[in-house]
Amino acid sequence: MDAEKIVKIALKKGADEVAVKLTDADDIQLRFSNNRGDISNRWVVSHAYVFLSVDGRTTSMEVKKEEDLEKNIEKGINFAKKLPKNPDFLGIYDKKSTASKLSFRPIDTDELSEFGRITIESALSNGVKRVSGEIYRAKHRVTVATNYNVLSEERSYLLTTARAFNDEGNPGQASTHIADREELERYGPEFVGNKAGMLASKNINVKEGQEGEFTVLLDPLCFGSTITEVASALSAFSVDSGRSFFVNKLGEEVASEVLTVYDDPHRPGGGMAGFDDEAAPTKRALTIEKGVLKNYLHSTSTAKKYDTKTTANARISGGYFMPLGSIIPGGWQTYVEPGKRSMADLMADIDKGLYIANTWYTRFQDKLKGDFSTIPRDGIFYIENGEIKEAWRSMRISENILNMLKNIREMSSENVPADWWGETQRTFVPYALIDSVRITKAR
Amino acid sequence: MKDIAERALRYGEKNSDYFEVRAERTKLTLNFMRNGVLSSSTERDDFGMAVRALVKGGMGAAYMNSGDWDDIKKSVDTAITMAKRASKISDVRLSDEKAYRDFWTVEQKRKIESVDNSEKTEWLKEIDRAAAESAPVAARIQILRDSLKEKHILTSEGTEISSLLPTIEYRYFIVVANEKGSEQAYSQLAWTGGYERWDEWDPKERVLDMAKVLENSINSGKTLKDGKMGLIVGPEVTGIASHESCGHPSEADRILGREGYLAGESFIKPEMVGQRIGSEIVNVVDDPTVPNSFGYYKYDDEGVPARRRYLYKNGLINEFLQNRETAAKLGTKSNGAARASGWDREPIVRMSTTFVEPGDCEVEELFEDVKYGVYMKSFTEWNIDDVRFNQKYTGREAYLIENGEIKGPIRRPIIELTTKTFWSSVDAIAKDLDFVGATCGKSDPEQGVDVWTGGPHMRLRDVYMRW
Repeated sequence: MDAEKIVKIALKKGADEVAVKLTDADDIQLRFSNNRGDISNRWVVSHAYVFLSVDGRTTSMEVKKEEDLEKNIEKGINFAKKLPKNPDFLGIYDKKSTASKLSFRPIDTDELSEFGRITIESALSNGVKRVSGEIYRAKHRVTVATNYNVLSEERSYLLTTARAFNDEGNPGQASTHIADREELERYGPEFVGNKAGMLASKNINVKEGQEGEFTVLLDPLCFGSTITEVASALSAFSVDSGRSFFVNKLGEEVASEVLTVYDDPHRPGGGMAGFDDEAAPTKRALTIEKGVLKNYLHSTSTAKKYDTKTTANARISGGYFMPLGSIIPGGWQTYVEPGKRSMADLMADIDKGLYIANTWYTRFQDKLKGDFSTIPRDGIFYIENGEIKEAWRSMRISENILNMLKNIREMSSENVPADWWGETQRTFVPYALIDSVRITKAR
Repeated sequence: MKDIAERALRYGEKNSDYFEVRAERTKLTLNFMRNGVLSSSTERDDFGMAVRALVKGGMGAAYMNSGDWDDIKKSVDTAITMAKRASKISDVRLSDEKAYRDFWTVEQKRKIESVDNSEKTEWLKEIDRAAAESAPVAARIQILRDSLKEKHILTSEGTEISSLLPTIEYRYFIVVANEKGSEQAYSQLAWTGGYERWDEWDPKERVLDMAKVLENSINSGKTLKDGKMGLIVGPEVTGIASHESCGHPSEADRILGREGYLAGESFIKPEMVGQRIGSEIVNVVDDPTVPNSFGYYKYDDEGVPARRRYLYKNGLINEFLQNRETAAKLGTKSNGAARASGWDREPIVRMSTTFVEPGDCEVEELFEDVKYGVYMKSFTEWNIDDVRFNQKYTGREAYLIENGEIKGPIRRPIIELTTKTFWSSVDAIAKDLDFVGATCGKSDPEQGVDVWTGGPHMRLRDVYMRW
């Protein structure tokens, strides 16, 4: 499929502006559980998504076959002509553009079983009983063509997830995203397996915990989940939709002064990109600086609406609660600036508190205010005098996310590429020490 | 499409112990309206194919969306090569099942293809206008989606199932905010069939009613002192509890650890069949054959006939949801629970319509016996741990019950309790029955599948409630 050709046909057929995102993917995955392989998957697929406007009306489509291009695009344009105008669409990126250069040495392998073996053995070396997880290698050639630009680049990365279970059946988990093979040693299968195994090996003699307000140390996987919610709420689309706790808070203090957040698409990782889906060159975008909300994430259209410049976060939407096929802003990768002291130093500061390894199932009662709860898993460790005293079960963080952000006391000096499933998406995050976190439990 | 699937099967079955082809084509229309603006209106025509090969205990799968035979052939070769490699580290088997040949569909009284898109967008506009005028609604999102899915499943064992599945789905999200606070609501109406259901749903009235409920909760909603009290839950809450704390833990792949690193495992172990989990009147079933249910199917994605499964029966753990892989491991037969969310996913163990079977009393009778408690009609925030034992539901529309009578609104009542406590506290079940649509997430890459959840009103005794 030729993205530039699709743009030309759409313009010839009457479109005013067109953005085509063509992704040629060759992805492989190895899934395993109970120390054995379950399935090997391979996707060799090509998707050409077309977004177009005609006289202020917008629509989208996916085109498949070269021979049907003219007919399908004409059909799409006729469909668009019958729609009402879309006042939220204020144009796509119209300056001449070159992709920001992504610097990484790809992990180029078709054989994942060796990575799987390393992951499992690293976990088992901690004395755990069984391991489940995945190795996923994505290899994408992404081309974006518009009226104004044609840009193309390779985006490839490796996801490694391991969950180890000890003799008592209690788990520990770790999960990373890396794009540069030089990172394999630091955050690849061995790191993931070892950390999952280590956490599971400590998650023993688990007791019913106590409710209350605690100082908590959140693991990067866990804090990454909080930061994923922050990244989603930073999208100008979420703000406009009333689905963000950052509505009307630009320039305000929304977090403790130790929190500085960037959207960082240039760092090698699972969400890196040199250009966005309307061919604007990406950049490192500061969103929260020392606790103050500096900017939302924008596409060209939302930037015009907010009288600012695009942050090059335009994405052709495919999300579940999003306008399928429209161009809306979304984060690439979220980077949280680390602190100066290590995780061990932070833990040593806790008189009585908790170290939480992971969470899942974050749900909001009120997205506008930020009231939510989430469930810790993979280790809830009670800390006394700076040391793990025992492991707890069945707890829940029941909080307001803005309160939590304001109560961050310190970030650790580590910065981990954390990512797993839908919970923690493409983050680079430290451990976070947070005061006065409300913990509840089932009765 | 079936021709090329058959060609792939003939080519792949020669070099594998088991070979399966699933070809799908989905035509869908989606309209997304936000605060009166049509943010997205799109028609899609999606095609793709999945092949699975089993070779000496190794399972390999390949997914492609090219209709070109050379590309398909390469993918078939890839699946077989990966299966051979995987055989060194795997011991996957499939249960023996009878092979069927059939075609099935669901009747549409008002065909999806007969409704012009301009009519759909007018519906959304009318609802939006009414909602904007009815209450201090800060945000309004509506999504209307319809689809026609053609599917062919062919296996080397002789299975040959073709189907045509029409569905419609309407979702709305609103936020009501004033100087006293804000509340949000989300609802999903879903139906397998045609647009004959649209008028029966009466979406405008539902949205307007929800806006009033939220405003009432903000303006007049009270909180009570934490403690044990009576609780009556509506079908929406019964449904989410059935799905989360019965359906999910009864999935055999979780029980066996195959979903361990993602959606988690289960508090249920294989040897727990027959153990008590709820009161004797509790029967929770999963049934893909409920007529017009969202997630309806006659055969699953491995070609096994669908049937009703009693997951909790008379309060006892009774049966797991199985596909052929889990059934082989547990030495039993598949009960037709294999589903793939699309052509680019493998079939795994899934729910369909999960609900509590109705009891024999009138809804009003449930209230008569409650001196002091809460009627939680619907919920907003919820979550449950990864073994499906520790769960929380926060009420959206809720009322005080005093001496058997429904009084004023209660704001955000919370139940945070274990699966056993929830189902053991049920002491009366009404004879009504209602369902809502939902999209159930599981697996990696993520697979969201259509489901209904539901049931009747239920009464729970001495439940600890908090605010």
